[in-house]
Amino acid sequence: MSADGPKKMPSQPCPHSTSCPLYPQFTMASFLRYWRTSYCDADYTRCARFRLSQEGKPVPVNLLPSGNLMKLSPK
Amino acid sequence: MNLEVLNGRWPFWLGAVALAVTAVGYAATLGRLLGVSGIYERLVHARAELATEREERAFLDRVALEEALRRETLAEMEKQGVQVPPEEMAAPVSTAVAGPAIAPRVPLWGQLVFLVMMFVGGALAKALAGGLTFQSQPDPAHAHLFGRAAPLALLFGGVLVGFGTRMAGGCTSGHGLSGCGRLQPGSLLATACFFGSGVALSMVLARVLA
Amino acid sequence: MSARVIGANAVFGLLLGFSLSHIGFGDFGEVHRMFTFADLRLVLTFGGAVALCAAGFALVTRRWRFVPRPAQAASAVGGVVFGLGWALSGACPGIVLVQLGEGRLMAGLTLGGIISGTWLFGLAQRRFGIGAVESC
Repeated sequence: MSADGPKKMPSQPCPHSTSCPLYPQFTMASFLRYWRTSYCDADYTRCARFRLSQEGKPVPVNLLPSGNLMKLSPK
Repeated sequence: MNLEVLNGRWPFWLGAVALAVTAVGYAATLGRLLGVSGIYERLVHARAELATEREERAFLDRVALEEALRRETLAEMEKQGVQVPPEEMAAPVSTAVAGPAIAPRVPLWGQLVFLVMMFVGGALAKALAGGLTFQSQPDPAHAHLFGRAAPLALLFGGVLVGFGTRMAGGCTSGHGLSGCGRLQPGSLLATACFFGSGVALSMVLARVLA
Repeated sequence: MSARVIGANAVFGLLLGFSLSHIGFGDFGEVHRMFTFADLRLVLTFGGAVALCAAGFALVTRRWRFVPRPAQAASAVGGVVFGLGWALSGACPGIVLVQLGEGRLMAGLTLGGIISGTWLFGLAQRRFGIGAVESC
């Protein structure tokens, strides 16, 4: 147990990664890996999708880990 | 017409085949595991479920999803002060990464149809096996055990079923058939537990009440 | 909402209800005999179905990615509670609908109980954070 830092990071990646519809989009070959390095492979308990699913609520596919709901581009 | 098939007491192998065909066929066709208790969960929170379906409908198109994701990710990274390497801006994003697809959410109306058809299936079976009749008293075996407390046993038992299946995240179809069929540890555990406690309580009830 | 999705739900719902009724899962006496091992027919039906499902899933559903179900305390505790309820009522969330279809009016009480229990669990989950971890 380290003495520094108030929060203990999860030591494994997000358990939902095999079934989350957004996770396959976050590939390491693109800047979209940002989500994985910030949430999925790091502290996934910060992820809004994970938190919502923990409350037993349905998670919309356009909810980002940051809590933002994606909007469509204006045509 | 083979009346043996319609007599309401199928031999074990026929029942086993029918249940397995249903569970596997459902999953293979719809990409979702068969699980009835989950449908109750969704129906109890129908408003939230329907709102979510509406919210995400436009994003079921993969092109729309990818496009929005790229745009929103860039905005988020800029907000967080993270640099984007220019050569990665145009890198292809492909969910056709080797492997199975994740199925979209099954529409709530579809699942309601499923429940209604289970009811119809029971009615059809009864009609073919001996005709449709209404039975306003508890089953004889149930009344034999519980007597005047039979309605209470049904109600309270139902509450335990509803609560327990949601806590475990599945029921006889979700954990018992689909989950165990896929050898999922959580399902094997849940199935062993619900079968075990069912056996234990039934044996106690048979000893004490019969 | 495609006709295929509705149609598939209709067909499989009908098949499940029809099968459960004919196997005898709607009858409390049959279920009680299953649980007390007085009659092994339902035990063998269920066990056989699980075995066939294992074979079926291994062969057939490679196209899709399904939610994993890790073992956790909620699986066990929830399972125990569910089993107690099944022994008391003779029903599970699917079977209760079959019972109603068969004309067993008392199953309406069971259904009311199941819906209440489902709702109660939602409250408990929001309040205490219990429950098996589902996926997003």
